[in-house]
Amino acid sequence: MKNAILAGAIAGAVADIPVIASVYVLANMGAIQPPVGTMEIWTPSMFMLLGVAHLALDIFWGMIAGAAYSYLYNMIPSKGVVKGLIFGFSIWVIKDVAAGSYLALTMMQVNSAIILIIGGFVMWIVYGLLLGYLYKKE
Amino acid sequence: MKNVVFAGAIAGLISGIACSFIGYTVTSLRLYEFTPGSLIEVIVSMTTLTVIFGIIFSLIYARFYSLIPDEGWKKGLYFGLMIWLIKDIAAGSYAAFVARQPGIGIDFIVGGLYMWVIYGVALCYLYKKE
Repeated sequence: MKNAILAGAIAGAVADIPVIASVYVLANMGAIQPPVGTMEIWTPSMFMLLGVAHLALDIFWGMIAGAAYSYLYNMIPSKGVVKGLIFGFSIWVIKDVAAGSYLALTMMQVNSAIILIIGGFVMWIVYGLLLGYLYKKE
Repeated sequence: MKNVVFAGAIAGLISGIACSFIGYTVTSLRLYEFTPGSLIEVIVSMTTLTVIFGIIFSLIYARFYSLIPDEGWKKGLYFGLMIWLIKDIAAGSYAAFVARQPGIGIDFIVGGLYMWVIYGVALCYLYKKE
């Protein structure tokens, strides 16, 4: 595939599935709690709503990240899926680890931070692998 | 300064302190309800995190230096805005629409703008790659 934006959108959409699944499993295990001030019960209808919103955002930011991947392609080490993995991991650190840290330590929203970091890890690793597989710059 | 890690730490320190005071002032004037806790807690936590991530982002700045457009303070400004886009706008949108916490989303976007603009401009003055 030669269109990085399209590749990013597809990777974002596909990466959404394991994120929602992992958060749902962890929530039902009691490993994570809902963000303070939101619905206190993790119901299937809530996850459906969450899934739709998450999918839309994953596609949108997937396209933007795809464009960035194309721009930075030659500067990112390695090749193929490993190149995509490095890129996805970097996005995770900049976006989710950083934002989650501020969320937990300055805004005192620890539950939201945990969900952001765990969910973001699954999302951007899967996204990066897919993007690296789908898009190759010539 | 040729040590980008040190430059990133200093830029993070400047940005963290400045943003702590801006955020606390805005909250004190009741223009916005921002962060719970005393001024000291806000300064310490905000500044510590901004120094840590300032170091990490400075390594990215040095790595992609030639790809960031323009020169001088504008280069730093663009880098700061890129960080703001990836970290705060993206995270803020997820917080608002998925976690259903629009207040946190706004905190990220508004607070992050001046944080990373100050950081980017400070970093570009402190570090110039040869």
